[in-house]
Amino acid sequence: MRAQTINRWFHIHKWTSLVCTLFLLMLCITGLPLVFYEEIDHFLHDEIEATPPTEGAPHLSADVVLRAAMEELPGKVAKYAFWDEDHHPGQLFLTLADSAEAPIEADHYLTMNQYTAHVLEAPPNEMDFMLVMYYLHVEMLAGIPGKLFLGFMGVLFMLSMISGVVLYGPIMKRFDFGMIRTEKSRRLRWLDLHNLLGIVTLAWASVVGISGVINTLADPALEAWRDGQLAEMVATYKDQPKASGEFASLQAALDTARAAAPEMEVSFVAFPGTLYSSNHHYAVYMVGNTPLTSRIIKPALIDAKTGQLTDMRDMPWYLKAIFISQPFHFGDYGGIPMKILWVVLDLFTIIVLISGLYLWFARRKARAAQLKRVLRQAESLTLSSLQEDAN
Amino acid sequence: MQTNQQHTFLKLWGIPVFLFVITIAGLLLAIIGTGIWHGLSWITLSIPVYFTVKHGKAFLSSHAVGEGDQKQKSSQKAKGRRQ
Repeated sequence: MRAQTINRWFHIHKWTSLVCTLFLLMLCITGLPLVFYEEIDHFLHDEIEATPPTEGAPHLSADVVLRAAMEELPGKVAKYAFWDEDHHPGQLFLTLADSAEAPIEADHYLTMNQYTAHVLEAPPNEMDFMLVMYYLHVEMLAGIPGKLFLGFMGVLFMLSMISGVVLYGPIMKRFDFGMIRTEKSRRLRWLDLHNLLGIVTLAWASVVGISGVINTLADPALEAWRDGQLAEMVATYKDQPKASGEFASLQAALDTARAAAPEMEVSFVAFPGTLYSSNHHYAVYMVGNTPLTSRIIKPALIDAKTGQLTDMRDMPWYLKAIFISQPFHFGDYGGIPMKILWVVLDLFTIIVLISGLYLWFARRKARAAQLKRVLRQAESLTLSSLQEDAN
Repeated sequence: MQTNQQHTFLKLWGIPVFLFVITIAGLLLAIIGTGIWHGLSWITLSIPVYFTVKHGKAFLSSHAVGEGDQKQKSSQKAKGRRQ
């Protein structure tokens, strides 16, 4: 590689890294506790369990459970209902807010017992440590603009990784893998560590980085879906006012969706007017029931007034891409050992970022010192030439 | 000549490419299924961590050496001044 080419790549690496490093550091640090969100949440709050009143008792109708939740928080409307039979059997998670369009920061969460319709947990609607970490990580507490900004930082991070790999070649050409020069200068030792950790974490950081960038596009992607496929599916409702008043049975909507996709199971329901549904429908999101197909998501649109199935289609590729990329960002699909490996690789990445920053400072200092030397030399030369002139 | 070039390419990129492929494989294995797949994924993803620790520990152990060097240098300087 020509020296000029290397120099050009060095500048790409320097500038893309400088711009994104502090944000990436924030993401890596806030990401650390988020990897163990479930476990920390369990640790901070008492473990709640929904035990059936009698052995083998059936779940109550979703309508009964929903009504009980609405009575707990009067004046609110339901936005979403979630189930997680694998980890939280017998529990129904509800999101309520002042309106279906309310921003997520104003949401209230209720955990309901599906056997008794009792409220298991109603955390206060305020930021706790983990939520602050979450919102910092996702949007720097700055809403959708913050999210898109972090996505852009992620793109710079990708560029900095690509340019870093290009520079790895000429730097390491004469050395063995993993060599750390300890006897030369402190700067070289840090450079070698930077190169070692950078090249080792490359694949992981690329996967987490790309999936993170994809995740930041969730809001515009949902908007595109609402304007495109969803609008098409509910075209006949176009001129009708938003569904209001008493809705049709939620339980019946669930049953209808299950009948329409018997090989799938219900993941969550988006209520009319929310980001994930139309103004007139329960969107019942069905997922496959094997580890591979559980990432395939298909919403069944059930008319919230009549309870009839309006349409059910595969989501467009860009939403599929977002759903499929999510586990690769969260690292939550391979048990606790994988989460530990996630944290270790995250810590390695933090060292890459800090060592990169250190190298930039050290290089600047070295160059400033060099410049000073040159200037002093020039100065003394001029002085001596002046003296000569005077003589 | 050809083989020599191949040799230097492998020497430079062999381990990085191996670690890249191993990491991606480890990330994919756990999504195929649970049980054995998870176990394989954990083992696979431990390989890059092992390589980092194996080579990276030189950085830590070098601290003492580096500082020792500096001390030596400064004491030499001091000696120089005394002389």
